Amino acid sequence: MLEGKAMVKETDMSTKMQIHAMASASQALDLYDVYDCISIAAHIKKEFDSVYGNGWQCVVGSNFGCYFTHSSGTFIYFALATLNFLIFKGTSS
Amino acid sequence: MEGAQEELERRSKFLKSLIQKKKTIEQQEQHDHLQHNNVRVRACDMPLPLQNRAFRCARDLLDSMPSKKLDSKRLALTLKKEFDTSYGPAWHCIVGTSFGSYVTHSFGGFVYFSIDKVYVLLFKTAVEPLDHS
Repeated sequence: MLEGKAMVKETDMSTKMQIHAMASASQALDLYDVYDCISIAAHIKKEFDSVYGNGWQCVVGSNFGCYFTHSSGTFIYFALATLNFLIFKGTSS
Repeated sequence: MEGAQEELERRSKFLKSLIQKKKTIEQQEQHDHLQHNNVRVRACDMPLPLQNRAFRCARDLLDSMPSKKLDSKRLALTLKKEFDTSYGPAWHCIVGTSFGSYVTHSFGGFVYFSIDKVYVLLFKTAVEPLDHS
């Protein structure tokens, strides 16, 4: 990954899913400019929807705080390059 | 018969003008409200009362924060909890000055607005029974 190593800040995901999240983020950064947070978030969210079922949410940026409810085992917050990434599944199923 | 037709048309026009006036007044009131609170709606799929609830809640909290320092997490927490309590789970809230997002939300449960220099994304997702298998 050209962007360097991602740093997980908080998560309750399985290790395998964590790796997938960070790989997806890295791939998105290869495809889109670092300022295009929406496209980056869209790329990751769609990947997770297609692989793990619908209902995923993704937030990408350099300045945000948030509060949310997530399903068990579906939450990760990590930093990569200059951005922070939040991925979680909002529905329980 | 012609007289009746004319009367119906007259009444129809009158009702239409009444409806239009009501809409104009409502839009003006909403516009005044937003201007007063320095709120600008960027994207929305939410009934007006819920929107106003979010704006008022955000305004009150921002006004109460000392030295105008933004506490994104606290604002997000306050909004999420207020909406969970008032309109049922599960709401999610993101607050900040620099972020992008891509989400799936429930019908009628989404608003993205700016207030002062901060952006707020508030949305709802469906909650389904847990699978205990």
